[in-house]
Amino acid sequence: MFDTLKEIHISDIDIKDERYRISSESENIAFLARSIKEMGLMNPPVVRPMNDGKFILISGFNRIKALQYNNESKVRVRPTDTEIEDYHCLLFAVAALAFRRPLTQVELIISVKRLSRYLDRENMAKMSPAVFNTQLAQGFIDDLVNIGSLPDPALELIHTGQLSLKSAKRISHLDMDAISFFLDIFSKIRASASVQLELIQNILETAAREGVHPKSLFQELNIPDPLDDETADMTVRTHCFRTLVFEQRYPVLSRTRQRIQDKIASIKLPGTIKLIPSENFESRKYSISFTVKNHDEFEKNIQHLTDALENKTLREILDS
Amino acid sequence: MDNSLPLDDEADYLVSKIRLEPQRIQDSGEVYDFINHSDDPVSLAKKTLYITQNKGALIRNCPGTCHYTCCDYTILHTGTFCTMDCSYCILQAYFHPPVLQYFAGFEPVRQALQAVFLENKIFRIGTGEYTDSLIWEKVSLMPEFLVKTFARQKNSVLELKTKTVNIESLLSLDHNEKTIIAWSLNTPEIIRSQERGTASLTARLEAARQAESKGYRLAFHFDPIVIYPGCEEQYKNVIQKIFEYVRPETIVWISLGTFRFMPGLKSVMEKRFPASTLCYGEFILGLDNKMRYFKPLRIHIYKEMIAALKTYAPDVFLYFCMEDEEVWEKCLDFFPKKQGELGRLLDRSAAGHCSLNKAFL
Repeated sequence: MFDTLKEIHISDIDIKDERYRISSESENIAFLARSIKEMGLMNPPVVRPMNDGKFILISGFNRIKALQYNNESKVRVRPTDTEIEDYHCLLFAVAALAFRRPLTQVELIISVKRLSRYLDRENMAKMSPAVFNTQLAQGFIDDLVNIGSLPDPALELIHTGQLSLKSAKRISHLDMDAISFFLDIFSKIRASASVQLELIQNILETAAREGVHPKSLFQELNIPDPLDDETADMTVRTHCFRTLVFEQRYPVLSRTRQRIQDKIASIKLPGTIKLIPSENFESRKYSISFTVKNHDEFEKNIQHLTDALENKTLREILDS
Repeated sequence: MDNSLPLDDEADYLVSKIRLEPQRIQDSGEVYDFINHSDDPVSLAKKTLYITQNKGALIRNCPGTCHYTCCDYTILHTGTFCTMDCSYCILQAYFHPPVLQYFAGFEPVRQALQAVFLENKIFRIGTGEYTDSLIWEKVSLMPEFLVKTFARQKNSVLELKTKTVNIESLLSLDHNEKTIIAWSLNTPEIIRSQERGTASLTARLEAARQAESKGYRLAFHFDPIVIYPGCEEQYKNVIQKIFEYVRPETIVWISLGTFRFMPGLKSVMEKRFPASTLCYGEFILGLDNKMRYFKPLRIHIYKEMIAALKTYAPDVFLYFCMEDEEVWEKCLDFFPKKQGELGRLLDRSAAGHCSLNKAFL
């Protein structure tokens, strides 16, 4: 499959042809360039000879870029034989990277998606230890292929952590308008994986309940979209959006929570005392707690609670 | 059909009604595997009847959950699953896999019931917990056998719960007031959209009228009550309609229970009933780890329905299926707090309506 090492001109490599590129481009290759300069090129790039005497890269994209950075004109490469098939080049590109370091999620998605042109999921799962340096289950391969079919900027969002694999999988089963709608949302917020799933579920369920398409949910309910406020900080925007979505999904529960919180606040208990209703008000039980450092503080808190006994709102809360 | 079952009169009747040659099997695992290997085990299970014997307990207590008040019902386990297809049916997620089983054999049932009939207490016994009591009436003599068996004693009532109108074979029986035929009711909108293959509301009430005319005692169960825009008026219309068909005096009890479900049911519903939005209401995780409507919503619909029920039938015994103290107090102004108190109230109503021995109360 491979010929012996050969020195070629870097200019003979068509570096724009990235058909076998799996890794994302390093933003800063200065360290790699310096390493090559001081210690030499330890792993020669692998290239595929083309009929016109030029080469395309199978692995070593960043190394070639680093050599260019060092103004090198030649490089020792490992060429494949000329008859090699596309499929084998791709297998080698994936394996070369996977056995050097664990693939990132995006690299895994790209690899699986491209290999799915040549392999069904059963065979890919069988070959996965040798190619991916890990065992991939058939179901997971299916998921990755589906995620790999998502439009831009899905992979970018996965790369930046704004879209988890689980969320990507969830939206991959939706229609294209809904997919674009969710990708737009996740490009404007930064939420944990569990919050992402909560948002997707709440939006889909509210839309289903209202009989509207998710993308027109906010217009249909006549709600200003908090994501349109580009002046807001991303964390604030995420929090506002999550709250708004929850309020649409659980309107009565949200209003009740707010009303009780307002009532508790109106009692004006000191910050050391917490009055907390039961989760979702299913139980009638409230918990009252305070923390103290000494007996004096204990006495003060007891006094505050004794004073609160006269408060009508407290009675209203506890006896409602 | 279980290979060990004899082809006696009961089995012969069943097979003749189904009009299919049964396939004899050695091991119930064959049925489970057959159903489990389907892409849609629930749908396949509804079309696959397994005639077998009940190898477990025939008489069981209702599996009520903690924190919510149970009616202390007794279950007579004569079959499992259902041929009708309600989107919200918990049996879809309760059995793994669901199997439509008919438990053949009158003798074990007779023996189990005889032991119950000898006790000095009231029993409310139903066959409608793990199946619809009367889907079997078209193919089996079991409902008829049960009505006749219960007619000969004085401490137990049989409650046959159904969404069908399959009462024809029961109408001419001497039931001695010991059988309550109960219909699960819902609004026409919910019946049409969520209760595939069930009888219409009008048909159910017409059947109730027929049963009443033959002296049967009746019960109605609003369970699950589904909350949706305009549901209050629609449930009130159903309530009004009940009393256009039957007299309040013949109704032993009416229960109310809003839709609640094990979390696992949601994915089954989404897969099997993609058009259903039932589980997208305001559900919270209840204290028994089932999803329930947010409590103020439950209280609101209960109050509306109870007010309507009281208008038409002020003396009919109303109760909640699996609700807590707050709901009872706010909606019915009392709470059966003591262990077994709700059961005793239901026993009292059964004894009054069904001529049971009141000394057992």
